[in-house]
Amino acid sequence: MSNSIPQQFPGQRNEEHVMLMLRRHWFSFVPAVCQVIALNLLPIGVLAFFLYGIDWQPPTDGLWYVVGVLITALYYVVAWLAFYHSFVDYHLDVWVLTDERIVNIEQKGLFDRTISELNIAKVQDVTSEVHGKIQTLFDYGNVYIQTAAEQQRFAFLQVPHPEEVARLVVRANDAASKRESSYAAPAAKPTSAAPAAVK
Amino acid sequence: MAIPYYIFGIIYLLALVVAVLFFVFNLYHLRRFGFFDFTALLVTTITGCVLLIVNIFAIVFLYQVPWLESGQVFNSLPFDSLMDKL
Repeated sequence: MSNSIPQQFPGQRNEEHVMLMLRRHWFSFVPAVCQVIALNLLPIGVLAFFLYGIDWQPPTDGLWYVVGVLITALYYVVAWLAFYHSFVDYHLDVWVLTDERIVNIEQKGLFDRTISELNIAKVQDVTSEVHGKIQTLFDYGNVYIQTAAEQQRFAFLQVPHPEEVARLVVRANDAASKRESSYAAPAAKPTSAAPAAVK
Repeated sequence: MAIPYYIFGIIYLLALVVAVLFFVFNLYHLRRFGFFDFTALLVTTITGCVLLIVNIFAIVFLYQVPWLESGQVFNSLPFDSLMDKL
């Protein structure tokens, strides 16, 4: 236990080495940032239009003043909470490549979470793709992993450096396959020594 | 028709409680699933500060309001003058 590796993701096994932990490229979060900036500026723009565009003074006392201030405050609260929720959703979508498996952790909303994992030795084919000017400029794209498992295709979506990720997956698969064949090989060899312990 | 100002305050406070719960749920998920790194801390801090500032501004703007009194709904409609301007 004292030699176990510090846990970097939920469900990490003892002695399992994390090779790569990926999230979607930061550029995929830019729309959410732009949205919150626009939502923050909108009431200011509307107020400026009222004051300077049509020369209309909003009420500064009375019931409608109270309603206006409270609605504006609530508007900003909702806008920023929506942004925070988008961030949590982005941040908790993670792909983990270890020396034993690939884990896909996908957060959908607050109370919906899907975790898929795949034995790295079962990988059959890896494809990386980068589409369009933006993805090429910022070097991010998709990596598809074809497997022999029940879920036949794993996808890493909008991840940075997809070609390097694909290379790492292939390398991890090679290493895992060699490890598995070296575990299997000694059992196949007959020996003249005392018989091996039977399970 | 007159409505007490505190009714709106109560509605706002209820909405704020829901907002705080939503914020806490999101924060709980970040902590629970083990990915509370520097970026998460930064975004959480910024969001928390903004929410606090928004409410401080609301308090500043509404500090002088006589909450126990009532405001007239129709006598003080600002929309007539707005419609004239538009």
